[in-house]
Amino acid sequence: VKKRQLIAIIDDDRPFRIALLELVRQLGFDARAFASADDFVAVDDQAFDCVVTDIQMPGMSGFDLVRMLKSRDQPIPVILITALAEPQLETKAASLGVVCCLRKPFLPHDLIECLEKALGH
Amino acid sequence: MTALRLHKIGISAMAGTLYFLTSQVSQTYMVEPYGVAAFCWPAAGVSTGFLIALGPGARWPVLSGVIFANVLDNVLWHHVVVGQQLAYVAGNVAEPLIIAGLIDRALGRNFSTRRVNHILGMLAAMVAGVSVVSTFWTVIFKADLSLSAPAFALWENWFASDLIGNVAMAPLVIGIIDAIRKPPPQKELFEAIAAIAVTAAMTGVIIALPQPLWDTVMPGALLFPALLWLSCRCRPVFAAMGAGVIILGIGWMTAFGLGHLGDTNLPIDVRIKQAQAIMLFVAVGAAILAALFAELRQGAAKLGQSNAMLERELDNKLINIQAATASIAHEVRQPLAAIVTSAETGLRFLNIESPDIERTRVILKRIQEDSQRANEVFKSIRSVFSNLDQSRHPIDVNGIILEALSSLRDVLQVHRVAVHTDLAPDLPSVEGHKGQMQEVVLNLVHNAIEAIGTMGSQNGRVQIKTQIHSRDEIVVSVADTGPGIALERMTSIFEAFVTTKSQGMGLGLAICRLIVERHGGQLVATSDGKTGALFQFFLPVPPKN
Repeated sequence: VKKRQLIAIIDDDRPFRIALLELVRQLGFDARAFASADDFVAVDDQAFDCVVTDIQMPGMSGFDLVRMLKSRDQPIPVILITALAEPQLETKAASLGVVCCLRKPFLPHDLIECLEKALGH
Repeated sequence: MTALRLHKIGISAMAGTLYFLTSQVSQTYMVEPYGVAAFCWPAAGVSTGFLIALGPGARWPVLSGVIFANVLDNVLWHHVVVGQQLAYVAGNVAEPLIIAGLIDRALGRNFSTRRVNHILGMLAAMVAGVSVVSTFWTVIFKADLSLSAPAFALWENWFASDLIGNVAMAPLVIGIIDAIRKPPPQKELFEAIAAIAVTAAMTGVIIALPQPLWDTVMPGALLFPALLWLSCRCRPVFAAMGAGVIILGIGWMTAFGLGHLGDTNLPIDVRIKQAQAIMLFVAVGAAILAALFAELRQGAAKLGQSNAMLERELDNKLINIQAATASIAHEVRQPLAAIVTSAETGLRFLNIESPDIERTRVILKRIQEDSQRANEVFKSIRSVFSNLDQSRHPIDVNGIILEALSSLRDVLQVHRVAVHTDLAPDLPSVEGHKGQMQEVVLNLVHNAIEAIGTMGSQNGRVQIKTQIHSRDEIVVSVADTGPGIALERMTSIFEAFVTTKSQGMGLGLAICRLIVERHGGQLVATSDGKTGALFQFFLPVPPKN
């Protein structure tokens, strides 16, 4: 039996974090949620298949996390989510090699597409 | 104690020395026909000026200096009987006491040479004080010396002599003491010195004017421009100096028989009357003119300040609707994203073969809560902006803090944050809008709680303190034991609607700063970036009437 893929969800907005965790689990993945990138880094045992993270958070930002993950031997695909309105975010995200950059509120369908892309389905 | 005593000795020495030096200049004016008084006594203004500027606390140091200088002056110049010397000393001590006492009673300790009504009050006090002392001297000297001079002529001379001295010298002394405390900028100093030099030169020209020109050329026309320049451009002390130069010149003209006022065809008492009239007009005119212009300059400075503030507000992103909309949108997008995501999950629970009604119910409940959260964003914005133009009332800042803390009790308990308050019991009330002030306090305490929350520690502490910062300002401090604010974020935290918060309303520090500034105050943050942050806002206390 193939092991279910594990997804990390990082967002400091608690209601959204819980909603996203439930959706991702409902979609058939294993998922764990973290309130900050620092929390994620503290427990990361490299078992995650994909990271879905907010950009603007207290402490380490989403971009900082992408840079850190990129420097690893086996990079984890990252999906960025943001409520910011800055226009250049997608370009910046693409230049960092991020799979997707979604703006809140996004359609669930877009997230599913991004997850499929990230996990190589 | 020793420092205080030294300070008092210093005041005494300064007042005494200046009084003595001035009285020595005054001795050159000893040409009045009865030979009992100088026709102008600027030393009187020295003691009065010291007492007004330094307040009742300096009464005995100043007066002891004055008494010493009087005795020394009497020993040097008068060979009159001890009784008369005592009368002079008593009068010279009583006069400034009466004048400064009246001013203190009528205007309090806020006397300023920059306010026209204060100058008028000072003149009235001087007329009263000088009248009393002149009457006293007239009675004593008439009884003691049996002078042939009519009593009124004696009284008139003493009155004019001391009044001129007071009006000319007191504003100068007050101004000098003020300038020692708050030195004028170098530019103003140079400008004033140049204008005073011009005044001195013009006074010399007047002294040298031949007789006919006194009738054809108004001496005032020569003196007026420089004096006007001084009053208009520099602080009152320099106008008083300019007036002093003129008075000195007029006095010497009369005393040493120079120019028009030295015309021996005119009887000495007529010349003295003329000189006294000119001196009085110059001194009073300079003081009032200086105060008028000082008021104007103050008004202009205030206008410039509020203009600069308006411009800054215009430039501020806060007024920039685009920026405000963007940040409000940011706040609303959070719950909106949660709603859309939850709705999708709910739909999926219903779309499976045996729909999971129970879990769907939980999700719908969450959607309700998130919708409420989105609505809160707009409610908070409205509560802040709808009241901005309302009238101001006296508000008790301590009361506002206590109310805010009681409304935050649950939040504080949940986050296990302890609050320490240190509220000044005698805190004066400030003028303002209670709701807005409450918003500021709530925001700052909320920020502190959240900052502590990011540390994940269980024993955070918020300290709230109110203090009287100065006579016309109070300060409210909110300190937390959170992670502090990194130096590079210090400026951006006040930018419009910047927030890194996840919960609740992130209208944030920009609004707080806006509210505090609209109350005429200032909001500042300090932090070492490690051991917590300190937010302080200063609020002006309205003057008591």
